[in-house]
Amino acid sequence: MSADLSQLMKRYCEGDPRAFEELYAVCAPKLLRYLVRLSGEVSTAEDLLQLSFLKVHKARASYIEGAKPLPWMYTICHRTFLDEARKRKRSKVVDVGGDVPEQSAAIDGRRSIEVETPESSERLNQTLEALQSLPPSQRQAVVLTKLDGKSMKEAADIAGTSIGAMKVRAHRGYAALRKTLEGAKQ
Amino acid sequence: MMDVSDMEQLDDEYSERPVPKMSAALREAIAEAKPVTMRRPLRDFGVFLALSIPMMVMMVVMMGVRSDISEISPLWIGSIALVWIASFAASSYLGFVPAKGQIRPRSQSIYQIVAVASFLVISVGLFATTSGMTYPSTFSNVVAYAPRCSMMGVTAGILPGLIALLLMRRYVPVGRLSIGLSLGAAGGSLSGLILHLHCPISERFHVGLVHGGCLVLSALFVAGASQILLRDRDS
Repeated sequence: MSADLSQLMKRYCEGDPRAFEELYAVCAPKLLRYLVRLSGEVSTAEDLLQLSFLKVHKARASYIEGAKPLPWMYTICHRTFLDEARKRKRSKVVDVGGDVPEQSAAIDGRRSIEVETPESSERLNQTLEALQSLPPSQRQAVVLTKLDGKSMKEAADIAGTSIGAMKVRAHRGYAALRKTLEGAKQ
Repeated sequence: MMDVSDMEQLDDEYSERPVPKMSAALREAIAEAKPVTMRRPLRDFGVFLALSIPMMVMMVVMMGVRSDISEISPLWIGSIALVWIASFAASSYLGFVPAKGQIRPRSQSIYQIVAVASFLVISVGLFATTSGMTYPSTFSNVVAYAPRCSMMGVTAGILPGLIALLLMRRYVPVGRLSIGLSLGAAGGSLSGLILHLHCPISERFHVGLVHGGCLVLSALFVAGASQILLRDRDS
């Protein structure tokens, strides 16, 4: 898989636009899932995904032949998410990373995940809300290691931190999440 | 209520969602995409060495070798020079070359190496200074001899750092700060080596804080410059 992605990225850097489409088809679902879990909103995550891929496109010259593009893309997505969260915090329209989760309208005015999936929404929303209550670094660690099933090393590479620090973040995040969800249960 | 151990179920909920289509802006950008030269870190690192080392030698020749060179131990001169060279080599290598298979820089290692290098060169200056020309350690002497070395050191440190950033000449979406810090520390190490070979003042605060401080200041300056030089030029 990694070798395929590296080949696709190489072909894309060499000017083959179809390679980008293939790359998008393979990577976009994974990255979208990651962004939904970080932001808690499907529509926001979709916007962040487009912004992230635009960054990947613009930064394609910094790609190194043979390197794995997916961890790099995850990092770009995370950076994009943090930048947008900061912008929103500043403009005080939506609080993406704050302590108190708000049910907000998406950037494009479409409904958030809470309204989109009414049957499964309750428990999903409670979990997402609990995820949103975590600090961004712990949220990233929980999403990558517990939900995306990445190894500690992969998660640490994506977050640009050490394996030890990633373990601590994931452990703290998981413990906080458990506490929040158990509190809500009672 | 979902239990924390059931969170894997979230996967299925999202897996079923269709992948969003590319936005018009992205589609347009892809359609206009031209072939680009991919980054070759080891080549960039080699070019940087080939440019910065002759520049350092030239500066030492132009400014002159320290006047007390015949009075001091070559072993001491060589050992201190090795500290600066090691700091230069490690910082510049980490700034240019990511871990195998990775694209983003090794930020953790960079922060650690810059911190260790700064601590080391300042400590060596403060506690392992010797020469045939020691100035009394008075406040006025420190103030009197600091500006010239600071100016020279920071200028000589920033220049290679900026050259290194220009060598990249591309948009780096993640890890700009660590790249800048690392390449600035490399430039600062080179300037520290120049000062070590040029400046005869061996007052410990001068050597430790002024010469060593050049590494820290260069690293900070180039880290700031990296935010401009390695950003997306369209935004």
